[in-house]
Amino acid sequence: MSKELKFTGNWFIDLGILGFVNLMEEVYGKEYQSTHEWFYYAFFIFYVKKTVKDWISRQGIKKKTDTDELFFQDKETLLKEIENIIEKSIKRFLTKEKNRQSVRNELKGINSEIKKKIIKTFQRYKSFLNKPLNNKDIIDKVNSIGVAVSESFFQNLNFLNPSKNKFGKEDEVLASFETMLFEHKIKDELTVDAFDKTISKFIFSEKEFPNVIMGKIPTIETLKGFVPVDDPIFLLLSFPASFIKTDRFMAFYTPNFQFTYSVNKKLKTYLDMARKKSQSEILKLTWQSIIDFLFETKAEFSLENMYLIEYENIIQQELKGVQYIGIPKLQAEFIIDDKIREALNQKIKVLEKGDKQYQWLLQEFIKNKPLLPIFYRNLGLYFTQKDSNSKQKRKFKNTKSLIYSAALDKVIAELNIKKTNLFSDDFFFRNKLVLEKAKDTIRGYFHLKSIIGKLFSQDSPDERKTLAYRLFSRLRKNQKYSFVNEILKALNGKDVDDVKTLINHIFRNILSNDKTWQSDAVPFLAGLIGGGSDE
Amino acid sequence: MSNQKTLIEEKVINEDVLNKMEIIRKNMPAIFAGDSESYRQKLVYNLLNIIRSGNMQQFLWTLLRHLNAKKESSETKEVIRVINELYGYSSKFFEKWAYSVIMGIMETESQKEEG
Repeated sequence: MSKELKFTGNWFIDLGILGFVNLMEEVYGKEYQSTHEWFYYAFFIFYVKKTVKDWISRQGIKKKTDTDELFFQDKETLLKEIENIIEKSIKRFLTKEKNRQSVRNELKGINSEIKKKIIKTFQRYKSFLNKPLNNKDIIDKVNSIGVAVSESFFQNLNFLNPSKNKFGKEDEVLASFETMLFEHKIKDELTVDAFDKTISKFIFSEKEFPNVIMGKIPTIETLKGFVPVDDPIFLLLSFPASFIKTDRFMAFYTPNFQFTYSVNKKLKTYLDMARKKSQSEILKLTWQSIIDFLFETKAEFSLENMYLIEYENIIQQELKGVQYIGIPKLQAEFIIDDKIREALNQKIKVLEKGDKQYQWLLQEFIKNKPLLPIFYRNLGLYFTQKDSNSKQKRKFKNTKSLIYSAALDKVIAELNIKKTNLFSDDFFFRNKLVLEKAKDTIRGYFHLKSIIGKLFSQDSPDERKTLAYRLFSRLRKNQKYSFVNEILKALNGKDVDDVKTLINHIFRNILSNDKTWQSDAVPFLAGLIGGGSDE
Repeated sequence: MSNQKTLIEEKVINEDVLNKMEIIRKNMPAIFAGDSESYRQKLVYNLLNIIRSGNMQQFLWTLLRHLNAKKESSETKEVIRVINELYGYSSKFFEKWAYSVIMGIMETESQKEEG
């Protein structure tokens, strides 16, 4: 009996559903049955295809030879041939009777056919091949492995473990998968049906299960009531297929299936297109695809809770660098604005424990973190770096982002300070009002910056930088009055009309403001080191 | 309850200080309108240095010495009245109102032109 695919609200199960749909769709398109046999076949076809594609793309040749171009052409042809083999196999599978044995035979057949093709293609380059696959070239790899599959997420499971998955052991590998899929025997030493770390990296292992005295370990059977497919093990095994690989593994999640599916699909398409571009491009695109979708579905998105779930890698069966990033609705509303998004879609260089690193403003913003502290570290670098060439008195490059960040920090902080009523007249429009306020603040800051730029245009770059540094060090140390003193001293004697505008700002937003004065002090810095108008 | 009362008191005082700062700033230009630009710049420079040293007595002494010559004007009387009241509050407000004085002096010429 098949059920309607719906998300459960539990992100772990839901990403399993997404992975399941990805996996089945990759093999069968939109029409498939969620039975064990269909899943069994799809799982291996999905991973064989993914694995050999990965191996082929990583395989290179050592020296620049005359055959270089030919080598890449051969790789392309091979990929097409493999696609054909798989397509034919799928057609065969769809027309045949489906049982454990017939699926196993089909998989064994296609596995050896693909392996033969690989060997045939690469054989003539054998002496030039480098060894990107655990110190092996692709021919040695194919000759030593049983079923050509690899998935670091499940390397602990027998069928994927390199020590078990060896040439000639194809039957054992597939049989071990079958026992797991059909009988829920995950590993010999575990309770049958146990739902523990062996099958899901996010939970405890049976051995270290903390309340084993109080109760039994959960079983896959217990999940049955919650999931919209016939057997929860489909979802557990499909889980890694929901993640998209960039420099890390990431998945976008929101409790709405359609929304999650579309964003991830878009994310994948964008990333495939950008695969050859730089790392920073890929990061940009991740956000771009999410934002694009937010933009298309403006009406619905604000109802959803959005998360990015990421992990860097799996080392010794431990997930490394796991992050769950919630995207707050307020922040989502801001990044829909083109100008704000563009200003925040920047990497900012900072010093982190002595090393130079980059921080992604948009990402920090979505994590609901203030942005000015990033700029303090960035400006620290800017002021301490020596100008190697006196002709190139470096201007500060991130002025625009700096001003936007300061303004956003201010309006969000003020929103938090003012939060007194749980529900009031402007409840439904609050985010919109805040966005308008942010835009006004940004405009105001740019105006102040241009006045400062004009007033100090006669000073040399060195003088401007020195004054900026003095202001910056007061700003960073949160010395408000000292900052005011310094800026008033610098303004003393300048054109009174302009000074009046600036003093009005200092009086209202800095002198009388103990909470967010740092943001309001930023335009002065920006005017001194940023130069020009770049709104 | 007493804690709440203190909070409310503090809020009232804060608002009062802000109002008084505004009064000072608004009145200063009229007081110094008759003086030369260089006189005002020098005075501003001196006062900024004094605030920096945190010496409230010296700030008052210098300011009052300069206001003494203009004590007939109604604006001067108003400013002195307000400063007198502010002087009664905690010294933590000193920098706030002292900078308002300086800002008012710095804004002088434009007001004179307008007038």
